[in-house]
This record gives sequence, structure tokens and C-alpha cells, in this order.
Amino acid sequence: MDLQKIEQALDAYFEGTTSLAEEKMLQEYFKSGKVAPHLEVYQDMFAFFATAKSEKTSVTPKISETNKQPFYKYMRKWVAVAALLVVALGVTFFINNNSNKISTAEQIEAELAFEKTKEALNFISYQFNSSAQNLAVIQEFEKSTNKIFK
Amino acid sequence: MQKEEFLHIVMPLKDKLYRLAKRILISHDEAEDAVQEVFLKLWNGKELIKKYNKPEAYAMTMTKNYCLDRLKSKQASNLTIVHQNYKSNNSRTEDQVEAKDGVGMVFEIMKQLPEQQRIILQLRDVEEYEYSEIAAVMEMNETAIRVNLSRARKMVREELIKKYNYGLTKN
Repeated sequence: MDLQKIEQALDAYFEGTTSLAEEKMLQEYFKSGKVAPHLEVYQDMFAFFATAKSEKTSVTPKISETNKQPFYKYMRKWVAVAALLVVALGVTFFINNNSNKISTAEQIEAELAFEKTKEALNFISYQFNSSAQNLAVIQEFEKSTNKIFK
Repeated sequence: MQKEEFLHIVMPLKDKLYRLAKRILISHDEAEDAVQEVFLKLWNGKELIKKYNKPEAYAMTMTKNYCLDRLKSKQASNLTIVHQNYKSNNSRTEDQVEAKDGVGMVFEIMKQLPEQQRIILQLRDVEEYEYSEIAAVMEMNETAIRVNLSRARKMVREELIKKYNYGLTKN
């Protein structure tokens, strides 16, 4: 290969103005093993590109799991909604139940108080009546005094 | 899009994506994780891939962005020490490709380049992309690509010459 052409291409290469074809030519030249001594420095560089090109990964990326991922994401939203609903329902039931219990308890207490008051009032009126009966005797006095003072 | 069709488009890109990821992340295992992750992303956004006339450029851009994000988050979360341990482990067992003398040296030099230049050099000299394709992947204009490429190549050359001369004077 023409050494001058290689040197020119190499200069252009470092200026970033070579075409892919020229770079291919440089690759070939440095691979050939017949490199001019003053260009040997660059041999490693091109050998590196060739080596780097052959690097391969042994791992095959899996995508089967990904099928599920949007589903999970989709489900997660609904799980959140369901959880919120459960909490909301729970709170409302709790409040409702508690307020009901309070009212029934109050009602029972009120009824009890009512009965007690009624009993007390009945007791008072009974006592009052029986005492009033005893007062009937006093009327007899009045009769006799009326007989005397006419 | 059916799974078969998707795999038909994306599977041939597997090694290219891996090489790009490895160039950015350096670690072999992390590169494989990145490829797996990018495949998942592509599969989840499989309707989008149809809109791009070149799925390859789309996949490469995604890999590049994902790997750069990984690097950023790793630097932010102080995991670099772990990564260095990991790397030294790695070079002993995994990548015998890098063990070759002169070629290994270039691997080392590559690691010193700024990420952007590293990616551009990878795309041009390893994957043999056209400038327009690289511009699409990097989301930059062609002039900027050429400038960065020239810088990267010169940097590698400089380092090589340094090491080469060092070897000569030492002997």
C-alpha cells in the first residue's frame, strides 16, 4: 500500500475528516502486519478498535417478564383505589355504629330516669293521700263546734 | 407489536448496545444490567419505536442516556468506591480481551477520556457509524461530533506516544 496515502489518511483521521472508507483502509493497513516503523505507535489503537468490535455479551436480555409489568402498574392503581374505599367505608361504619350506640344508650338511660321519676312521684302522691285520709278526723271537730255555736 | 416482531428488530442490536454500555460504565456486569434495562424500556415503549424510522439510533440513544444517568447517580450516591473494587475484580476474571498488552493499554486510555468523547469514538471507530447517525444518537450537530471525535483521537494518540516513548527510554 502507498505509504504516503496512508500518512495523509492518518492526518485526516486525527482531524476527524476521514470518510468511513478511508478509515476502513487504515484499519486494513494496520491489520496487515507490514506497518512502517514510525507508524507502529498507532497499531495498538487500531488493534483496539478491532478487538472492541468483537466484544459480545453472552446474556440474552429477557423481555417476557415485562409483559407483566404494565399489568402490575395497572393493578397497583386499582389496589390503591380499593384500599382507599375500604378505609373510607370502615371509617363511616365505625362512626355510624358508634353514634347509634350512643343514642340507644342515652335512650335507655332517659327511660330509666323517667321510670324512676314516675315512681318517686307516685310514691309521694300515695303518701300524700294516706296522710290526707288521717286529716278526715279534724272535720268531726268542726261538726261538733258548729253544733254548739249556732 | 408482537413479541416476535419486537425481538426481530431489537435482538440484533444486543451486542452493540452492550459495547456502548460497557464503554460508558466500564464494568462488564453493569453493562449487561444496562442492556437488560434498556430492553425492558424498549419493550414497554414498543409503540414508540415504530415512530422512529431508525430503531437502532433510538435504542442507542436510550442506552447512552441510561448509562450516563447511572454514572451520575453513582457519583451522587458515593458508590464509586464499591465500583472501583468491583472493577479490579472484574479485570482479573472477566475481560480477558483487555489483557492483551498494547490493546489493553488503549482500553485504559479510553477510560480516561470524557464520556462524550468516549461514546463518539466508540460509535465511529468501533461501530462505524456515519456522522449523521452519530449526531442523531448524541443529539448534537455534526460539526460538534467531528470536533469531539478529533479531540478524542488526538488524546488517545498523545497518551499512546507517551507510553510508547516511556517504554523505549526505559529499555
